[in-house]
Amino acid sequence: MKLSDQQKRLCEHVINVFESGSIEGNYAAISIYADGPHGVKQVTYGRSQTTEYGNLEELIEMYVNSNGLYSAQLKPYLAKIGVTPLLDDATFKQLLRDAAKKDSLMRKVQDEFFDKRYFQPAMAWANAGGFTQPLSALVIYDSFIHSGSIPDFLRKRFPATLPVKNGVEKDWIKQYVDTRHEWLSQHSKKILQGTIYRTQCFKNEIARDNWALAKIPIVANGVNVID
Amino acid sequence: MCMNLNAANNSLRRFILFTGVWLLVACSQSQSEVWIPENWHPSLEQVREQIDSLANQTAPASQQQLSQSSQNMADVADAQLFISYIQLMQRLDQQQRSDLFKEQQAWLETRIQQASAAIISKGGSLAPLEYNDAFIEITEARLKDLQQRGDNHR
Repeated sequence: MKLSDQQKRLCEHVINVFESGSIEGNYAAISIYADGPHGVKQVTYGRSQTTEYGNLEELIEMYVNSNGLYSAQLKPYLAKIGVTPLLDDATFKQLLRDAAKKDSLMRKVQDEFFDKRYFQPAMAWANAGGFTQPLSALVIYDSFIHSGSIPDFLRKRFPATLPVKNGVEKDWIKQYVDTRHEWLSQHSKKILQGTIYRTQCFKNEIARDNWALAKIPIVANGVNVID
Repeated sequence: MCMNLNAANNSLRRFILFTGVWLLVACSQSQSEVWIPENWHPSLEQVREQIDSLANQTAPASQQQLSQSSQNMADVADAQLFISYIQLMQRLDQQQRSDLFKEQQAWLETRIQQASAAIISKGGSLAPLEYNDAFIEITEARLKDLQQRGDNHR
């Protein structure tokens, strides 16, 4: 899978809109969710949201080692992340917000971190599957961001085979998008149905044969993404 | 909007927690006294309906907004359950209180397991939404149960 810089940027910007509502993404976003180990609440941070009991320590370590404006103040927290609950630590949360808003280095570190955590694994999966089209990259990357992978239970619901197994790439992507769209749109929870703007965007791009992502803008949840 | 709802929910949670702990301590000292004034009926119904309405509005929200809304709904449902639990506790005798406490401890453990099992999108941004939706459904069922038992002990 070879993407030009513009194609990769386009993929990231579309995902940013899905996740945060803005093209550039919200690097300072902090949410508290009860999805930590044994149902504990935890801090979730950054452009593509990494968690206190997941990979937040790795992200902060990367930033601390980069000697950013807030590295010295965040360094003592390295020993606490994932060990001591930090959801009520206002100083820590403010440091995370300030670093993302006021230090471009934090935004750069987040780009590198999320690229390593999500984009590269998604592209590795795409390469192993024999995919070559930029629109396929976008669909697969989105699935890794939204569902953490290409879920097996969805793959079992459609007959197309992977390109690497002599299947037709466009057929596989179209069937996967349709299957994912159906799963989300018919979900028993109405709030989950609200996320079909992602698959609807892909269905639109497939319909206008935009496999090279050359036709812009791409309309993502009502936002025109042009670059 | 989400920030305002979060702030309101946090204040409410602190108030309910304080009241609840005080009531539990008080209830453990004597079962004959009434600890909750009869005409005091805190309600979170409207808050919950408003959050639900915002989350299901026509204009699709970003994933972060949807996940935050689902967390807010889960927090409100849990606070409602806490209120019903305290109200039921007041109506029980000493042995029944002890039994309900143990039952609730076990149920809380089960809730964590069931809500965690509902996560299909492990490692994805959809995961908190899946967890919270299951959490809300399980909590609502328990809420109905405790409210029914509370009515039966009037």
